[in-house]
Amino acid sequence: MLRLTDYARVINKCSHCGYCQATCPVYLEDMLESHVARARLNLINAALIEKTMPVTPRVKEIVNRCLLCTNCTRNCSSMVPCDDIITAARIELAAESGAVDSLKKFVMRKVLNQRGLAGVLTKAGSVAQKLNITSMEMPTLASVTFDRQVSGTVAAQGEKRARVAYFVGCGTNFLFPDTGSAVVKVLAYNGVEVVIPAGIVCCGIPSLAEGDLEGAQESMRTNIEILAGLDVDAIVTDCTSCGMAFKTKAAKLYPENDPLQEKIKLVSEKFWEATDHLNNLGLAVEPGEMAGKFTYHEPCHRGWSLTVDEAPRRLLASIPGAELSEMEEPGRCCGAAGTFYLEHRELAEKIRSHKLEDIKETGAEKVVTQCPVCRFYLGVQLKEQKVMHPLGYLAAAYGL
Amino acid sequence: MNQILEIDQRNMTATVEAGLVLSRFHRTVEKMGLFYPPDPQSMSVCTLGGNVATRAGGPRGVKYGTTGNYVLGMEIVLPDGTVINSGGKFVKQSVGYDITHLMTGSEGTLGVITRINVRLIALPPEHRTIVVTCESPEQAAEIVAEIIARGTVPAMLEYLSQGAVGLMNNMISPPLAGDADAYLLIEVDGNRSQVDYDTAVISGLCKEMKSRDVRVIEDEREAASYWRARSNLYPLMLTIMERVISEDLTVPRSMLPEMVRMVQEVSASTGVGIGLGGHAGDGNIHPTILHFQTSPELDEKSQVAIGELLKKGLELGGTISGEHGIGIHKSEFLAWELGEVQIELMKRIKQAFDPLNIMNPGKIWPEGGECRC
Repeated sequence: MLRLTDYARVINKCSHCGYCQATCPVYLEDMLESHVARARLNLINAALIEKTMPVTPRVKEIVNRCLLCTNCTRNCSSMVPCDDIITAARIELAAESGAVDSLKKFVMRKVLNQRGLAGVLTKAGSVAQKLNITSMEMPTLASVTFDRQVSGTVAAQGEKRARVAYFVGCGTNFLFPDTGSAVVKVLAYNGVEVVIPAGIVCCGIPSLAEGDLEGAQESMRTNIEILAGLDVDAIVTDCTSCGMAFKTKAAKLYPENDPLQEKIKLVSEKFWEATDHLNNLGLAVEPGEMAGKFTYHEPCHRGWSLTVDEAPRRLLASIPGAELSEMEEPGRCCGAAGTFYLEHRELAEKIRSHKLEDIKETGAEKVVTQCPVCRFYLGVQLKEQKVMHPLGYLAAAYGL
Repeated sequence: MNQILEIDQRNMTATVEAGLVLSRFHRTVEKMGLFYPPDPQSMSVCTLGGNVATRAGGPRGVKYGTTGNYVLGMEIVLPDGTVINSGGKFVKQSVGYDITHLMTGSEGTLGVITRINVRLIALPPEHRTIVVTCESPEQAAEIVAEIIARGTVPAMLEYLSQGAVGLMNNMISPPLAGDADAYLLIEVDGNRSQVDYDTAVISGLCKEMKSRDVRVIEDEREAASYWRARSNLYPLMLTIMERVISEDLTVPRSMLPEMVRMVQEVSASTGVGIGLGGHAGDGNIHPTILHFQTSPELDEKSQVAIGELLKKGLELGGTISGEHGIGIHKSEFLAWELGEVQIELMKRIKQAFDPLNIMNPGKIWPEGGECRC
């Protein structure tokens, strides 16, 4: 479970090799040893586990100045779950001081965790104003959210090859319903029956990032109860962070003996990112020609599937005329990380600037990525390139 | 202080700041068809300044030498704040004492290196990876000695134990059959005909010497997975071990079979688990002390084992450190290799540079200046 006491031993597996310096986006900008996983873990150990030093505002700053991008965890040879430990530290800090910002808690618990609430959009809008966020930095919410556009079961076209449930994340629901409609259309076109379960809420990743364990538990429980009851071959999501939530975080939200664990196992085993799933299944219909250069931005939350980053490359390579132009570092973070970019604006912009340069260097006119937050945060600055989900690209090639 | 200041293709040199991360330097020069061979396995995070200060090596030492072979000049801040420049961009110099190479490997005890000129070479156009599965550690060592004796110079020639391959298989795709006691991981490079020739010589002699298997890896991605796993071997060991102490005893290459036997004997007589893995090609197979658990008792035994290893390594005509340097860890053994006269001379050099003893005090020789041994 995401309790610091549970990590007292594993935190000492860190050998201080410092390899986390190579990939930590925050360290690479700040160039401060205290801003890299190795040091964060030492600090968390001293201040919150062994309690040999006081929890100063600087300790909190260091714990919060982390994107939770998971780069350190994915690259740690000692397999220390750095991001879980940092999350657990935030949970503990929040519990100690009641520190979860009440406004944010409101957004997460009342908006993301209870979709379909009347007037959601107006509320979110007024929250944005209270937070004094410029319209440039705040995504425009879709006029009609995805859950009001499509619901129920969408039949497979041609021979039915699979039946999947589609977990629609907040990014797609509130910001990019076009991704949702592409996922449904492309899957159905390829012989997949798509069930869109009613009552789905946020995956809980935003709550966790704020140290709001209860909020994450609450929404995950709602989702698991719904998804576990479905008779489907797989559960797909278009968002890598939602996938990560189910695949690697859900079980850690509850005690090991919690009765929900059995259902979590059942659900998480079936979880796939939609592009990944379709790539495994293979296309039933050849896409039409769509000439142009594209590049692929690998979302950071990709560690939960070995093939989630290969799938878009392979699948889109089957579009006649589509040419993949790789970035120098396709897996480099874009700096958005949920709401991180709002609270650490300057830092996030510096991280993004490298990504933007890399993208422009490829000469691509389309940027594909499975993360809606990356899509938004890159899209704000990319005027000449279109940022889209891989299945959005495929839908266009199919003329859907 | 982490920038590349200049890459001078006409002179085949580069000028960099001390905080530059090595892998970034590698990527930048290689894009230009140039090559900076030193490759300490922490290259994704280690800095050029640190490499120079510790005279860092790596697998490519067998063919290309170590950091010291590439340093041409530097900017140094002396302990009193004076800034001096030694060497330059020229490839040879015969003017007085060689301060540049005195600073190289000085472990921060003489001054602060802030800027470095290094030599670059042309990037070899071809490279190929060969994996040899051996019948025994002794056979692996004999094959290494024979490869060198026949005049073949691989770019990298690494010895891997069964345990090392087991761990590396987490990153090698497809994994290597892990049922042998010893392996050699080899890369040859150069132009096509050189690579073909070296591959044929090495494959041929491995067969002559009845190794279990020789495999030339054609697939670039597969080959890369081996070398990536090799870079991560040390942290990989830490996934199952509580403590890993990697020694860098280095012997003349003809003595490798003796060294392998010696390490096994020391392990048996001291009751300390000692693995072998690393840069066999330059006589530097790291004897690595492995503890699944730690205890003061085991630490004491390890210290005895390290002493034994180094003493016997010196008897084989070796050195107590091929690439890691002395620091604190090996300071007590310094006199075994250098003798009192050389140590006294070094201390007088230290005194001349740093009379107040403010530069990295306590390193190379124990604090207070006396060796325990």
